Amino acid sequence: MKELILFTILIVVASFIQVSILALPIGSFVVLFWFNINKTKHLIFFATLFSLVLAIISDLPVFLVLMSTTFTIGLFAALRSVLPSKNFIAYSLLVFSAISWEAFLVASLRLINL
Amino acid sequence: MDNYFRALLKQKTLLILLSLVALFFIFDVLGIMGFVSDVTQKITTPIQISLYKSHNDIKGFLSVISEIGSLKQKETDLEYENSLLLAENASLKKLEVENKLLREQLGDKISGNKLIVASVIGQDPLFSVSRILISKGRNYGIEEGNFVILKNILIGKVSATHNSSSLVILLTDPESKIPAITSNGARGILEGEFGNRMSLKNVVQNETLQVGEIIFSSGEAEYPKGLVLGKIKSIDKNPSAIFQNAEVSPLVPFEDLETVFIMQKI
Repeated sequence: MKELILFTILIVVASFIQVSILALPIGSFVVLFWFNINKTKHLIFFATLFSLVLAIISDLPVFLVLMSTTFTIGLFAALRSVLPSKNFIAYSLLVFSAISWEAFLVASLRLINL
Repeated sequence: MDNYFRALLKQKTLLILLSLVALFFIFDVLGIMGFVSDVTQKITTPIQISLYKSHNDIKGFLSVISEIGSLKQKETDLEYENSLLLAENASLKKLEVENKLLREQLGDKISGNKLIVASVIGQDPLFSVSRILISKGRNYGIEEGNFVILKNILIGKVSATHNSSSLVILLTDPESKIPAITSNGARGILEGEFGNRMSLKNVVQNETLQVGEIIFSSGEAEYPKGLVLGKIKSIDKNPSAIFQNAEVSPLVPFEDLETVFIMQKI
């Protein structure tokens, strides 16, 4: 329960930091970090919470942010399943997937010409 | 090897997430998300403003500490630049009076703009784009395409509006392209580039560019004429190329903006 509350706060704070202080995909990194530790447990809740908070405070369409997050989770899972389960590889994958989240979101935004 | 992907499929997590994407898309089309955003932003906007301002204050304080050694040299340079600008300002004031008289004589109607003040409440959460969020939206009549300025310096253009906030695409965004003219009359296109940079491109070789020269909007492609866009930082002139380019730096640091004005046509 403590972990759930901690990650909820962490995701909200990370979204605010991403919009007001440092434009890096910190929130998606936190969601993936949770996925890496706890697999699918509460993953839907965290992915939706992150997408909602970030989309609302940064005026982006929620469905696009959630779509990028879903894509990133899928990509991370696919790569994590085929690559050896070493810590170094897992953390490199986390960074790579978070960067992919940004790239996918930018591409989708360009596509709908927002 | 851990089978994360199988876990995603087994728990139907991917399917549920994709269904939520579809649901939020429908909510977005129906305008439900707009309503939710408006209500939530009433709470989040003050938090964003204070976070953004605190971040700028801390950044400013740290930069003063790190640059303390070079401040004396900077002061001397600024004094010199200031005296040049004062001289230029004096001659411009004279020209302004002449210009006003001529316009009155010619019966020219100058189209006015209403200025709406807005606070910067944040930046785009994406690293690869240069956009800012401002605290005024459709409620104040802000529309897509409105220009955002600070004094006579063009900051960017409103690219999306919400009821109580708007997204502004900055001059440094890779999507920004503005027809520009230098103070010596050389024409080109000012383009934003990845990494918060700007370049003046497509300037023909026989035109003269100078470091420090001010660049203005040329008045084409819907952009108002005469707004300041930036200052030439360096010139890239290759005799074998058709065009010459120049790196341009903004006159105000876009990342430190706290207040801006939105130009609304009246």
